[in-house]
Amino acid sequence: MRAATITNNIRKLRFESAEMTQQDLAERAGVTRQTIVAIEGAKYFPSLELAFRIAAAFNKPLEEVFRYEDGESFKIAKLKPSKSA
Amino acid sequence: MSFREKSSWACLLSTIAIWIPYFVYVFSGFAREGFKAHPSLPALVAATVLSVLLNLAAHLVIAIRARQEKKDERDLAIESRALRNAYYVLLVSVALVVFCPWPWDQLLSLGLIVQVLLAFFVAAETTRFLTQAVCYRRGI
Repeated sequence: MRAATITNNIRKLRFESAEMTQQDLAERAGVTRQTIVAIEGAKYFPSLELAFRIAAAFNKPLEEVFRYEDGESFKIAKLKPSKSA
Repeated sequence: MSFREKSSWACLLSTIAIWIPYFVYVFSGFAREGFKAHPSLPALVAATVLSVLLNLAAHLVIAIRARQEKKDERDLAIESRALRNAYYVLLVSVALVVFCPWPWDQLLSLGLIVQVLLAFFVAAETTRFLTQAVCYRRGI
């Protein structure tokens, strides 16, 4: 069974936002650069408040920056064909 | 390396560099001369002063070389994890002394009890700094 995990698109979004540096993002989100490095590398999972602040720094909704993948729902989603298909 | 990571390493290294030789000196003195005969107070004062001076100098150098940043939620998470681990070490150490059948009538001396309590406190502090250093290195 896959463990639940939170993935993020921070690296991709930084490059899409005129190659925003980790330091720029850290200043906008009000944390240290090391915290952004840890979040980007999925070593540290931010609080909900920080996750919203990071999403706001990119002007994106939260689900475009972070995605929660639960082991069970991941399996169910693979088994059930989507309605559009 | 961030200011706080450098600070954790400095505290860890200074604690090991000062307090391990101190306890080796004190406990070997106790073993050689007996608990009451060996004077440990001058060594304790010297180790405390040296520890304060060394930490002060190390933090001064780190502050000059690295940019000091405000604590964020990750720093607080690391701090609480480090404090929890230090508390476990202190708890186990105290439980070891209280519940183990030591020959109290032979061991009991105020000087020895003070040194043992100090050793537990230093072990807990070492655990705290080590946890912080490892967590900063790993990301959390």
